[in-house]
This record gives sequence, C-alpha cells and structure tokens, in this order.
Amino acid sequence: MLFSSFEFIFIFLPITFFIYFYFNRLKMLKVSRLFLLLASLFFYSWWNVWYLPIILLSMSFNYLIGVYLNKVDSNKVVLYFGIISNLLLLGYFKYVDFFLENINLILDDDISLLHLALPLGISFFTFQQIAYLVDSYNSKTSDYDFINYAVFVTFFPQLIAGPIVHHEEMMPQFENLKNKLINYHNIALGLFIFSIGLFKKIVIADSLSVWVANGFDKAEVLSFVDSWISSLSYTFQLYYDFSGYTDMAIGAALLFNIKLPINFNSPYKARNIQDFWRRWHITLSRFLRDYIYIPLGGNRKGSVRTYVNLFITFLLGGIWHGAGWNFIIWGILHGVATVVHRFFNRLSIILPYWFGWFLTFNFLNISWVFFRAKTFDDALKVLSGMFGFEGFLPKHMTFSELLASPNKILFDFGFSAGQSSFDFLLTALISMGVVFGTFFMKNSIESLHEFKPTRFYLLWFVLAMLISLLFMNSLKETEFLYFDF
Amino acid sequence: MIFKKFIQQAFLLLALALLLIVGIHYWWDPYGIWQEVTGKRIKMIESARTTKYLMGFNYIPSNFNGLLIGPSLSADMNTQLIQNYKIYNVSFNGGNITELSIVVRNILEHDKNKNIKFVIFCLNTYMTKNHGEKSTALDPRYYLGTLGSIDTLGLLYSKYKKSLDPKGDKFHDSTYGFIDHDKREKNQNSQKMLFEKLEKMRKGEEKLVLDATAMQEFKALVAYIRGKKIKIFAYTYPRQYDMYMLWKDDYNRIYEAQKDLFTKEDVLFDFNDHRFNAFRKDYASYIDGSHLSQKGATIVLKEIKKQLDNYYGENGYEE
Repeated sequence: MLFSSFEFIFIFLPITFFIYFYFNRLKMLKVSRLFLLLASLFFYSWWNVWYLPIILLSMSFNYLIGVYLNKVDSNKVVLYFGIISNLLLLGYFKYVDFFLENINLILDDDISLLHLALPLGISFFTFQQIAYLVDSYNSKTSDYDFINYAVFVTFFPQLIAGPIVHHEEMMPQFENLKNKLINYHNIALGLFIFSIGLFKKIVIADSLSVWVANGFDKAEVLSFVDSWISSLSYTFQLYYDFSGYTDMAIGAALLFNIKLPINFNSPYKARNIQDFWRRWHITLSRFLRDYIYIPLGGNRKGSVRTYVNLFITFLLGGIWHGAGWNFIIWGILHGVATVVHRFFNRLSIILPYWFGWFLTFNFLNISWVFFRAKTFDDALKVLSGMFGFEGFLPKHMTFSELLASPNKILFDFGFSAGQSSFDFLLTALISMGVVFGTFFMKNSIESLHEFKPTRFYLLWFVLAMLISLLFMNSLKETEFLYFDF
Repeated sequence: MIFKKFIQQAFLLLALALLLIVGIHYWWDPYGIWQEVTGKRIKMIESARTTKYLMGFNYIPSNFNGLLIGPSLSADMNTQLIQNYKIYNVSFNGGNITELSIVVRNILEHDKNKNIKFVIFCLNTYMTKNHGEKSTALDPRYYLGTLGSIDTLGLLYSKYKKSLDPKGDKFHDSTYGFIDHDKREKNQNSQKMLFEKLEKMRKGEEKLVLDATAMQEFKALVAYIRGKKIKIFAYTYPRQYDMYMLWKDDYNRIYEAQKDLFTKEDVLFDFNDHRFNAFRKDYASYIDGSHLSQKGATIVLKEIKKQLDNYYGENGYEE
C-alpha cells in the first residue's frame, strides 16, 4: 500500500487512526498498541504476505538478543552474532545474486542466480535493529516491552523507506501517556505536511519520472540536451520522491502523536559535499556516522586514517543502497569527493558560496547518473551525452525546429502526439515550480514550523490535496524510488 | 482559528471541492459513461484508443447495433454513411488484435440490452503482426479518471485548442468513430509515397509477419463474439494493386490464415479480387499508398452496405 494511493489515504489511514484512538479513549492502551502493531503488519503484508515471517523473525531475534545484551555485561560474541546474523539476512536477500554474478564473471562459471524478491524495507529495519543491538551492548537501552519494541520497528509510517529511526527517540514517545490522546494541533500539522509530501511525490516526482525512464531506459543515444534533461529530471525526481515520501511519513506519524526525525533539509542548496550529507537522508548519515565512521575511529586517529574512514563509510553507504557496481561507483565518487573536500578544508581553502554550490550540484547530478542507471553502459550513455559526445541536439531535430516548437523534444521523452501541447504546458509549469521550489522556497519542514491554522494554510492544504488527487486519478505509474533500497 | 476548527474546515472544503469536480465531470461526461446517452451523439476529442475504449462502457452499446473492427486502415471509414445501420467504427491507428480485443470485449460486456447484432472485421496484416498492448491507453483506471483527473484537464485543453482551429480536426465527424485521415494527410503526395513504400518492399526493408500469439487471440475473439450470438462479417482490406501484386503470396498467406478463423455462417468478402482492380489501381483511392482516401472509402462502404443488405434486407437492420 503506497502512501499516495486511494486505499491508504481514504481507507487504511482513517480506519487505523479512529480505532487506535478509540481503544486509547477506552483506556485499553495495550490493546491499542497491539492494534497499531497489527495494522502496521497488515500495511507491510499488503505488497506480499510472504514478507511477513521475515520481519517477524528478524524482530523477535533482535529483541531477544537485545534483552540478553542488556542484562549481561559486555558480551561481544553475542553482539557480533546478532550483527552478523542481521547482515547475513540482508546479504542473502539483497546481495547474493550480485555476489554470484561476479563469481560467474571471474571464474567464467555459470552458477544459477537465486532471483530473490527483496523484502520491502529490509535495509531500513535491519539498520534500525543493528543500532538497537549496539546500544543494548553499550547499556543505552532499557527493558523494552516486546509489543513496544515491535511497534518501534514496524510503525507503518517509517517501516518501508525510513526515516531510519532510533529507539531512543521513538520508545519514549510510544510510552508517553500524553500521546494516547487525540491532539488536534498534531493532526493539523500532520495533515499539512502530508499534503506537501503527496504533492511533491504525485505532482512533481511522478511527472518527472516519464522523462527519466525514457532518457535512461529507452533511448539508445542521448544528445547533450536529452541527457541533461534526463539527468536533471532524475536529480529532482529522486529528491521530490524521497523527501515527499518522508513528509508523508512524518505527517502520518504526527496523526498518532509520534514525531519522526527530519530526513531532508534543502539538500540541493548545499555548498559542499559535507553540507549535502548533513541535509540529505539525514537519518542514514546519522547511522553511518554513529555506527560505522565513529567505530572505525572517526577523525581521532590522524588525518590519513580520517580520510580512509570517510571513504569506507561512503563506500558502505553506496553498497547499502543496492547490489551493483553502479552503487559502488556512486559510493566511491561520494567518498572521494568528501575526502577531497576535507583535504581542501584543512588547507583552509573555502570556495565562494555560488561557486561551491555550482560545483556541488553538478557533482551530485553527475553522480546520480550511476545511482539511476540500470547498467554501467546506460550510465555511460547518459554521461557521454552530458559531455557532448553525441551532439547538442537530437539527430532528427535542428535548432530552429526546436525554437519554433519546443514541445517537439517531448516526443523523445514519451509524450503522445495528441496530448503533447498540454503535457508540455504542464511540464513547463512543473519544471519552473521545481527550480523555484528547490532553490528559492522554504522546505517542507521549515514550512511546518511556520504553520498556523489560518486561511492561507487552509487554502494551501485544500489545493495541494485537490491537485494531488487529480493527478492520482490520472494514468501515471507510481512507485517510491527508495522502496528498492 | 483553532486547530480543531481548521481540520473541520479543511475536510469540509476538500469534500466540497471534490464533489464539485466530480459533479462537473458527471455533467460534462465526454465519453458518455455516466449519463443516459441513448440517442445522443458524442464526438471524440483526443486519443482514439482511449476514447473508443471508454465509450464502450455505455455510449457505443447504447447507440449502435454494429461494430467495425480494424487498425488505421479501417479507422477512416465513415460508417455514418452506411444508411439504415448504426455501425460504430472501433478501429484505431496501430490497433493490433490484443488492443482491439480489449475494446470490443469491453463494449460487448457492457451491452446489457444486446443492442450489438453484428461486427465487421477488416482483415489486414497489421492486426496480426504482433500482440500485446502498445501503450497504457486502454488501462481500466481511465474509467474513474473520467470523473476528474489531469487526463480530463488535458482533454478540456485539447477541446479548447480545437475550437481555435476546427478545420484541422481529424475527429470533426467522429460520432460514429470516424477518423478523417484526409485532414491529417491533406498535403501528401499519395503516388510518391506509394513508390517509396514499394521501393522499401523491394529492398526487403519491410516484411509481412504473422504472429502466432496474435492469431490465437484473434481466434479467441472470434469465438467470444460467436458465443454472444453476434453475426460476423469480414472483408479483406483492399490493398493497392501494385503493392498487392508485389507481395501477393505473402498477403494471401496471411489473409488465408485469417479467413480460416471464420465459418460458413459468417459473411466473408474480398476486396482484392478482380472486381475491384480498377479501384485499387487508381492512385486517388489512397492517400499514402495504404490508407484509403474518402473516394476509396466510399467504394468500400458501398460494398459493406451491399453485403449487409444481402443479409438483413434492403431496409437494414430492424430493431
């Protein structure tokens, strides 16, 4: 069930909300918690009920290990057993085919691939639970009740694609009695940010996805113009898709008086790569910092070791995102960029704001090509167009033709002839909105902080929902990009 | 404004706005889905594939008693000119048997009053060249989309654009599903285009293919229609004479395979026999060597009417 589906918005969310607070009102707190757990598991099983045993097994296993680590002092063997078991589960589903493909390539062998379906959100709930184990080992966790723990792992707004929540920030919220009461302030905030997220996902990200798919997957050759349209479309699609999802997650959680951590803070306004990672997928950066970079030694073991630690952290970040050489290359690029930035920083070389922003944004745009391309050849196809090796314009189009009828370029990107002028108008509006919204407007979290129950926000909510619903009722394919990770 | 009031007003306003949008679309009803449309005539605005699919939910079964099925080759047949019969032309550009089958089945499934009494197949090579849907144009999600979506906004925009230039509208006379290719192709040199095509064929750049899965789907569609006790007519498309002669064996191989799907109870007639040679040799019968001009279409329509009259009598189909 997608957040941006009619069944979620009009059936699942309202029913879960009302029943949950009905039980709370009757002071049946354990029942309401159990109901929230069951609702979350139902939400999870909606895609494929066979995923359910995996998450139940993972949850029970980690809970027991956590309880044991909490009771016994410094048992590293059990901690490692717990972490390795989690990584093996993740590795089995996510990386085994990649591993076998490379074995086949190296040994010129033909070992059959397993073609396993990746259980949804496995990367997210595995990381979440590894953090819980490490903190249990360090005596930073309490004796959590299993139902509370299970709700922490499966709470439906964050289950599939984060934010990667930490038990320290979530468990007290689930246990706080004040959060069991309907809070109109939180509901209003939740609805507001949910409407922003829905708009970002449905109206912007899904509209751009047509350009992206045609550029990356369908076209055989991309000109300079085509390739920049494709890569920029993906750069913005990914941001609006993922941050839109996160906004909806934050909004849905707020209805239940649960505050999820911020995950995005205008990442494309970043002036350098370090700044970017403080603004993009913040909860992943936090996890990588706390559970990989710092345990590796962080910056405490000299400058060379710091560079190595940074590089390893980003490399693992790349691998976490997916099983493929493109993700590894993407991780390497970000690792190298971070090392270079740190080196320049040590030399006290600071670039002017606009130049720094320009470099960072273009670096991101180029590196996302590897992130999106299904194969290395596809990435090279887009990059070769971006660097001008395939001509400036599509081969069948002259510059004067393009100026006379700019919507002709849309044919390359999958728009039908009949609808082209309307689609062009719509796409032009959306593109302008994307540029303006990304670089010149406050982001959704900043807007949330300024929210007041005034007519302005009332109108904004109604319009955002209305336009999104119109888009939802249209024939557009919709899938959240981060579900794949 | 307090938060509770804000939430109440937000939901109320949203519900009212949604009701208004749905209400407007219900009233507009560009595909004749939601209202009583018997006796009404609705023109297509855009996208023949989707429109003919959506009109199949109500408009076509409510108003017509025959269907003409084929790709673009038969889409430019103005069946309104066949007097005494109400034949909706469900053909559309590039329509293969998979897509045509979806549209035809949709119409017949929604024909609760059993208005559709006969179908006419235009047998041709494109219909069985491949199988599978070529786009998302026939997605069932369009159905609810007709009550308000970006697609209907696009439709409204197209309607507005066409009102500025009505002469260029190939759907100007489309209440019976007619697509006026002459509008689209008015500046084409038919003869030149034909020679180019013949040249391609001689070089082997174009090949006639018969897809086995498509034939299975065709067979299933014919059986489905027969199961509904609907009379079947079928004609082989009149290929331009030079083109036909160049590829006679291939054309005949495909036409024969298609004809094998029909029985003695069905009415089959062939436009590629000698009786129509003069018509097929006349370049003016075509607009591009393949598609019929209105001059050519008139001859085909006359023959269709003759065959229908032979079966139903000169007064046409009696309700």
